Amino acid sequence: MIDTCVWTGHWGSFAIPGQVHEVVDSVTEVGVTVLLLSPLDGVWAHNAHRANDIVYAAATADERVLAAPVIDPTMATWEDEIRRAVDEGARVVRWLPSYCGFELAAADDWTRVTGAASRILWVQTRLEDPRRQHPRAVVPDTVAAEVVDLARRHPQVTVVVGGATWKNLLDLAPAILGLPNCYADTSQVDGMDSLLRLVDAGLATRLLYGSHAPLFMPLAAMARVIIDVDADSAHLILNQNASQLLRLPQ
Amino acid sequence: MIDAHVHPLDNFGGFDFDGVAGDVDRLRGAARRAGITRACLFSLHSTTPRDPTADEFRAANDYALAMRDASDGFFLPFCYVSPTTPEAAVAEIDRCVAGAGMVGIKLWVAQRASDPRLDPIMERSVDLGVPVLQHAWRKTTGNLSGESTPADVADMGRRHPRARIIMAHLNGCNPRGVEDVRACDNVYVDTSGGDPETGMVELAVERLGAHRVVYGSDAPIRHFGVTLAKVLGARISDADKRRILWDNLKSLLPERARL
Repeated sequence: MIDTCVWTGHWGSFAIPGQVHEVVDSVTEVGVTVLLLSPLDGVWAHNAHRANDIVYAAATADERVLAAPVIDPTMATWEDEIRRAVDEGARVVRWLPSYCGFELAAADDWTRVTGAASRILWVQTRLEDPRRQHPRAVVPDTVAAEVVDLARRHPQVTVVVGGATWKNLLDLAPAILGLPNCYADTSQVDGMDSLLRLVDAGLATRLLYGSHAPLFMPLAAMARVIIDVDADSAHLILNQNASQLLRLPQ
Repeated sequence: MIDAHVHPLDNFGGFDFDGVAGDVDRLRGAARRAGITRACLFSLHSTTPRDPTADEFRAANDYALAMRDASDGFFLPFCYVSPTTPEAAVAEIDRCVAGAGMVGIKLWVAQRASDPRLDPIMERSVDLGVPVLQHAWRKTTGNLSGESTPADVADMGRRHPRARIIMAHLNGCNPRGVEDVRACDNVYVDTSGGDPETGMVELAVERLGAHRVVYGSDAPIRHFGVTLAKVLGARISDADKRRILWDNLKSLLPERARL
């Protein structure tokens, strides 16, 4: 099983077990064998890229870990960081538009560069429910529909809608299904029968399992898959879709 | 496992279902898939008005009673009332709890828990020996005007030390809310509300004691299994998990719940 949404580092408003070994242990405990790891310490940093060192080191040290660096395309040196992602073999790069302060409508040139480097572009729409954020550190969600629009404008780039709610994904299902380059993760899909409804809407081939650990509990992420959906859909979500995207051995 | 916090599909979620029987089948089916064996149920009326009229909360309670009767007792209904009309609220509690055997009282967002209009309701809960489950959140984006904060619930607990109060939404109340009610031994907290953040159940157990934490899902808004995992995946003892998933709520509910 492949967990495509895992973080390491610190979070300011509550304590999390975020050291690399703690995070790897917590997700492998529920059956995950490969994880895409990104640095939380880059989220609030003036230079997010400096925090990527830790995930590259983790990927080098542990074959279960795949680095997913955070890229801030508003940094003057961001193309150097894309080149580093290529050199390090990081297939996925994550954008945090709301935290870095840019609009997807103005991100076409950056998207083209990312696509030219053959990287999968993961756009994280939410790290924390705005109702639960620290009152002095409020960051709005990135609109999931704008991520899908980005995918529509750049059919040559694989785009993942990260952290969207199930209602957003259900509304966007027809659009996502019309775009072969568009995927979404399950990390913030909550609500009774939520994943079941996304599968019923035809999204089983476009969903990637994500736990959002260590901010969220890995067992909760696994529960929403294994309790509700059929075995074939679960296999797609937990393994096959991500395996094909990341070109991992089946 | 007993779920302290469930609503009918009739209230939330945009599900397709066929009347009370369909509501029971789909909601109970999802609960059972996750391992839930009994569930406290509160109907907030099909239109979920924030401050329901007496007619609206009566209709909501009739729906909850019908779900109980159609579910072989799987659902344990609480009586939903509004403190805006205290006399009507107490009359409805008498009808539903004393008369029809409901096992608790539900308060939502009509008035804050610090409002003295709640006092007759709380006194009746003590007379009838049933708990009161009070919605609470501490929203960074701002609460509704009648929406209780944990500090409001603490005020309620201090005013009514003989009442047994379940403060809803641990994750929504956040670590500051846990501190707000810490000194109120008659205030319990349910684990519903918000995302499955790491460490919240452990925090509640550390600061309140495992005996003051009960499992709640807030289904269908939230997923039974995801919310169960908050407890099952917590770094606490198996004995504490059992307290949270069964023993504590059993001790709060009246004998007629037959747990």
